[in-house]
Amino acid sequence: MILPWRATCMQVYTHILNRVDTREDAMAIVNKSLDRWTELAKAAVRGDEKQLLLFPEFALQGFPLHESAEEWIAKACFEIPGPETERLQKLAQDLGCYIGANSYERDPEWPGRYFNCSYLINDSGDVILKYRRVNTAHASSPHDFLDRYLDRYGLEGMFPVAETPLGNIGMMPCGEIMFPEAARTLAFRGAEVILHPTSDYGADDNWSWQSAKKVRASENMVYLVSANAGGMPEAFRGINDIAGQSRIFDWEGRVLTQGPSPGESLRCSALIDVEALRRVRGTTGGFNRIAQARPEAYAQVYASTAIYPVNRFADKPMVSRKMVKTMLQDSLKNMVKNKMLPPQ
Amino acid sequence: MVQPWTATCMQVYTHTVNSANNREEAMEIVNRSLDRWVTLAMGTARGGGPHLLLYPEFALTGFPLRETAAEWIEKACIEIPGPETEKLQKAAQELKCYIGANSYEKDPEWPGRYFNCCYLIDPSGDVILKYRRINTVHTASPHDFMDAYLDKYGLEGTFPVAKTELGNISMMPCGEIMYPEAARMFMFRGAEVLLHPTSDHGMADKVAWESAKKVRASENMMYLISTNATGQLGTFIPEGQTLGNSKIIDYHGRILANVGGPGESTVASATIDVEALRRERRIPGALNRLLRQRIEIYRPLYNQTSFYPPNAFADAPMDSKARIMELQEEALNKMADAGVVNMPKAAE
Repeated sequence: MILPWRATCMQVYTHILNRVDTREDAMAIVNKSLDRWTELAKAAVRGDEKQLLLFPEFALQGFPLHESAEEWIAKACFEIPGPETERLQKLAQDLGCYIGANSYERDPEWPGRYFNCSYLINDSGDVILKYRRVNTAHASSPHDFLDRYLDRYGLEGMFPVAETPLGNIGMMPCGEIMFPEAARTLAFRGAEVILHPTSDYGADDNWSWQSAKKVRASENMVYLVSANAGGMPEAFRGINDIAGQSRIFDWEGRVLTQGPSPGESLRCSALIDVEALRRVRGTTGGFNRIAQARPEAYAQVYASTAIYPVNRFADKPMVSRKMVKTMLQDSLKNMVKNKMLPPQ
Repeated sequence: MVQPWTATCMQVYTHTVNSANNREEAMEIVNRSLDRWVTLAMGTARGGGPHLLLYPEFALTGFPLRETAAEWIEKACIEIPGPETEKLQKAAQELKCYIGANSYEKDPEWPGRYFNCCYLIDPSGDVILKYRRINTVHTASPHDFMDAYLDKYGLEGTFPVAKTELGNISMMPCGEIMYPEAARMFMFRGAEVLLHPTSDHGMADKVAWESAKKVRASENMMYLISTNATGQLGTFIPEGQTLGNSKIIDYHGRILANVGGPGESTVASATIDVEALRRERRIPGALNRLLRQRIEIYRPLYNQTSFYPPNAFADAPMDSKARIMELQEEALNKMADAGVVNMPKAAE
């Protein structure tokens, strides 16, 4: 029996690392952010219910702009768990809460590579889940060396679902919301709650991005906790291009709560009742969207379709964003081959 | 080069045949609806370049309620093409337009079975596309005899995409909007325009159903034309369950036209510019959702996941809804085995 617990979106400002050159300067910024995160976490965790705090996507670092992969790894990426996450781990332990976050990660096992990594810390301070973003725009992805990655981690490690006293939790960041298979994978593997650390506009429904959050929650019958950053004060682009409005959805896509736009806020907070979700999932009837799913019908098309080139960085890591351009050209050719575009 | 063309949602009343005692009575209702449909078509597709008209899901009959499969086939199902679709075929030919619709279908090749079938008629009056609904709730599905079905039709016939002078067109009805894989299939196979004949609420965003229309269009970068019925008349179902608000959505999920409410209406009409869509699909930016499909990584999931039993009616057709309830129980058990549903103790 899982008692209802509280999820809070920690809508913080993202202080980017692109304007400094050395790791020392970068980590000074990271630590200053962590000071503020600590204050906010202490303010957020109160009352008797169990709590989970979710911070936005790459909110300690921002994302690589002019930096090569090598420069970004040296300056900004950290190990998870590692010295930088230690403060969050200790915080979770001290406050007796769960903490979800997302950071650019380096891993001694994969030299020269970096990951967009979502991670969950439990109330003992252990990192119990790590998910590395698959659908990246300009950054490296496990799909770039899929066979090796899958060999090493299996499906369990590639699409992890943590069984916790709060229920089964999966994580998936930002733009993966536009790829239905990403959430689908987690749901088919048992996720009841999807944590969505994001760094998106938040306010308007461009490309149906906000609608997609509702739809992922409903089509997969999961709670979706979506914490967006409140702004990027030092950004090279509009500081409010990332404009908060974090949201929490129930399994029918209903908005339970939402934060302001833009700005720092802890207002987006709601009770999550996993037992209620389980009861609905356990019913027969037209609206059980998981029990009615017929994935076998689609397996052949997934098996026979290929667009973005796979395993392209199997032997050597991606060095710069420029390399993605040639891959996208190949991807266009595959679209023509699949008749998704007429030949030019 | 595809010239811009006009799509119109033919938002009509559904006059159900559930209360008809026999096929004759049912077909009388069907033919009266068809007459009205043709009148509306003539008022809509007059000159002004290529036009496509889309009618709602099962809008000639409604859906089986208390009827068994055998009774429904006998009373309400039609062949496609067949005598009943002929009126639509003739209208398409006379008006030189495309007509999309959806009807419950019987097929002599599959005795005892019926289908929820979407179909597209071209300006020569030929039926050029037929898609049979897979994600059904209480009715028969090709997934119920999937192996035999795929053997017979292949992927081309199971997930058809029609190459036309209007672009590449696919169809998918109603509740399939809640299953992302359904629209995905057509996008992967080249669809640029998805016709969505539906019979849903249309107004409130219950279970994010209306949002899903936007999201399917955007995540697959295709135009979505969604024609909803206005009321299922002649049954115990309240008229307000089906409230029109048909809409046309572009490839970023923006609403180009919508009716705004219930009632018979052809107000949801918009220009479809397939060349514009093709240009955007070529841009290699971060927001080209098609270009960044890393499909391989999800293959194991679709190869391994199974809840609702496939091929459950491989040998004998589904006869009644009661059998489907048993299959749903089986799906729940498979979900529990896979850890996807942690059944509360009280339900055991």
